[in-house]
Amino acid sequence: MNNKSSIWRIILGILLTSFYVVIYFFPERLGLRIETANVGLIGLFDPLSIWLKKVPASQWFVYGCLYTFFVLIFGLVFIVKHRKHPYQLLRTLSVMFFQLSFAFLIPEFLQRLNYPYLDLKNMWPLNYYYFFDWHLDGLIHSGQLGILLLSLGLLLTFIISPILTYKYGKRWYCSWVCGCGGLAETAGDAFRQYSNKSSRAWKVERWLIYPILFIVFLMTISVLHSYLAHKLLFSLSVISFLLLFHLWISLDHNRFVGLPPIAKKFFLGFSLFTSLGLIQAYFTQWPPFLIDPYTLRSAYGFLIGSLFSGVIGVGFYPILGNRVWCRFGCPMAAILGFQQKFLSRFRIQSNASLCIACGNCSTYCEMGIDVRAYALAGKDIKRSSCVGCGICESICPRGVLLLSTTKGPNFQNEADPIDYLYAVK
Amino acid sequence: MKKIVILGNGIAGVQTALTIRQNSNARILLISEEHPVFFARTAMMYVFMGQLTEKDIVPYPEAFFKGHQIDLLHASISRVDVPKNILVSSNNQKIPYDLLLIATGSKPNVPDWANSNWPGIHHFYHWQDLTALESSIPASNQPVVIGGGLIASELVEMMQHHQRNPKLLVRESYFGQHFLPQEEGLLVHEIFRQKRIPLFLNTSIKSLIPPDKERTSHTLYAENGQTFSTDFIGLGTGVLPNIDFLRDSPLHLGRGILVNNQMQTNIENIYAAGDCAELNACLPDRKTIEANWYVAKSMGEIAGKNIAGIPSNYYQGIWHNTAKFFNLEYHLCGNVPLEATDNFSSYFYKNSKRLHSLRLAFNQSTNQLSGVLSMGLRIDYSLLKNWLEEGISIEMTLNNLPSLSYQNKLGFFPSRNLLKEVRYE
Repeated sequence: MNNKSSIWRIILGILLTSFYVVIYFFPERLGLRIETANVGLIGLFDPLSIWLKKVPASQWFVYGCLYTFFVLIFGLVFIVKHRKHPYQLLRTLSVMFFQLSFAFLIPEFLQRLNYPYLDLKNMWPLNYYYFFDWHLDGLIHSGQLGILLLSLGLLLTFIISPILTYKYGKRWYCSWVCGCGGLAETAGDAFRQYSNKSSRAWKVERWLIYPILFIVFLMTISVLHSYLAHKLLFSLSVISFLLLFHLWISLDHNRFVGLPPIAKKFFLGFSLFTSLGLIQAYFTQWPPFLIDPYTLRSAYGFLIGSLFSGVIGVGFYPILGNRVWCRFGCPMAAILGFQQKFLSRFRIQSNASLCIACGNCSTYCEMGIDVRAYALAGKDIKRSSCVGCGICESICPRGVLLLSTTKGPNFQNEADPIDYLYAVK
Repeated sequence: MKKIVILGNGIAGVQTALTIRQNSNARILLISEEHPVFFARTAMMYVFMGQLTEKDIVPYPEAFFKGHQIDLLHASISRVDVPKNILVSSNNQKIPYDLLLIATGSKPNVPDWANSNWPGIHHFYHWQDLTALESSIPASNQPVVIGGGLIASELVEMMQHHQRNPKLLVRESYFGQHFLPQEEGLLVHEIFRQKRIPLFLNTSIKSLIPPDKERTSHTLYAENGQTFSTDFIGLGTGVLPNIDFLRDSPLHLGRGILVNNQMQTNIENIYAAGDCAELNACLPDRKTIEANWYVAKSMGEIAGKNIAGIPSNYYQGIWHNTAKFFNLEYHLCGNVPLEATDNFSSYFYKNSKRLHSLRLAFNQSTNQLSGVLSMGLRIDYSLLKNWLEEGISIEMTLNNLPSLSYQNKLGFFPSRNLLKEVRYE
């Protein structure tokens, strides 16, 4: 039975991946035409597109429609399955709402009214183009509403998000609001048990997600540097920010006791690289990091934006679980996760004296956290990757786990949970 | 270096091994006849229903034991040669020990009218039972489950999963009469009704005619005159200590292996823990054998410490237990009398439609809280244990009722005015 199901998973994975490759890179195969009317799949969506915003459908419009459709349909399936749990009910209604309105209808209407296409809940760095010249210009040149939207995005990224993450953990975004999370939680729900639980996968996760965050950071700096007029002021601000941040994680021992030394060294190396790049750009005529910002951003857009978050991120649901992108790639998840671990009240409480080691929590954790290892040892679970979907809490047959935001300890080493939790000498 | 041999790799044996390893470098050999590596017995039902795989219910991979120098041996032990400090396996292999822990758990209790060797008679306790059930449940005809406890309920749930329409035969006047007050028992009846499980109460089996050449099915005769014809009988009629192989040894046996509060038997270098151990003294409202995962785990911890040379005493402390009947959770902490006594009364809330109940039992002469029993509602055991140890009054408990909830705030938890003082019915 197991072999049969894994063959089906592989076939489904290949189909999904191929669909993504075609829609991203060969839209004409789906019927997209530039000069004449669309045909095929894309042609089918023309009437809807013309009705909504008075232009023929593009492959992105089709993608948006299908995406929203699957979030809504599988959202309902999820709700029926978990109707006894109010948390799951509200959370799913929330992702369905945000997908339908913020991610789909509002941007389409904005476009109809000749405003830039904008998802109001977009935040840097998941939406890595937020600080690209065309995006900033598009908003700035759209009058007062554009400026308002731009300010809203900045407010969301730098003020509202940290506050919400402090109070509730990264789940407020990842499993209540985010579009990627929305699809993962609904259409991807059937695949959550295929996420890899090994400590090796956890290691891969950390060595992918933070470097990707730093690449987004570098790219954004490089683009803003060429866009902004006050280059020196900008460079100095970035260098001071990195310096202050470095001082903070080195000096605030109590808070960052769980941050492994390698992470601190990695951050120091990154800060030096960034600072030297900016200093070099000031004294020479070459761009920061000696790379043309446009080359950098198109490389990122192709490799991470399209290939990783799209093709692999969803295409590999049946093979690596429904949170491939969120777990291994998303730079937003990296930032929110860092806040969650060191600057948030959110954690999962566990009660070792009730745990029967059944393993439902670990198996159904979409982020590959070995929840049981913590629960058996009676340790609270405070992991940066946890998106707070609450399935472990709902599925636990003995009421061991509780998503909590009461004040609690904010430590924990990034070591193999089984080994360090057992503290075997 | 001392060689410690542990017989049985259930939770008691494994907890002992881990506790020894935390405190000593002694050689440890963990022997099991049932399964090569420790698994969560309580989760076998989920494997049967396809919710988990065999791998998922193994909390620690074999490599974990290897990494901590705990050797594993998959073998059947037929007797203990106490004077020579040797275990003899069924193929006559001799395994010497310096210290021995016996943690062989339980075996199913077989009523005197039944015989386990007859085809169609099934238990649900050992790993091997799972394999047998996997082949026979899907093909079973008019299956019957006998028993009034958790294993009977799980067997029924497993059959219902395959649409076998099992009948549940209960000897008592309501399900769970030996661990639930009647009101709570009726709540379990309600869930059986929702799941369309025909329940036969006051049905005590007096005899059974097994199939012969002419008939393929068993015929069960009940005291009340009813007869049942079936080719599948699931027995959930309790468990007994699994100690038959010790009958000829000098170990003092009662119903189980008699141990003192250090888990030590009458032989100095032999310890026992878990379901197979019988305490030679216990608290007035408790039992000398408490066959339960949680008890086994804490006994294992005590045995491990004593074996590692750290004297520690097992204290029964405050009783707690959990279970799940279909999707109805059961949580008990402290002492909740099952029927009316002179001393006890309780505050009680019940909603049969939403399948919730909460009972706060208290001592009428001292007004102290004696225990809490909830169905379908999760309670904060850590807090409750503190309260019970401090001897909190029923008034204080009622005033602080919301803090007893161990569930998401979106979920329902009864407020004080919903609880009414009731004598037991």
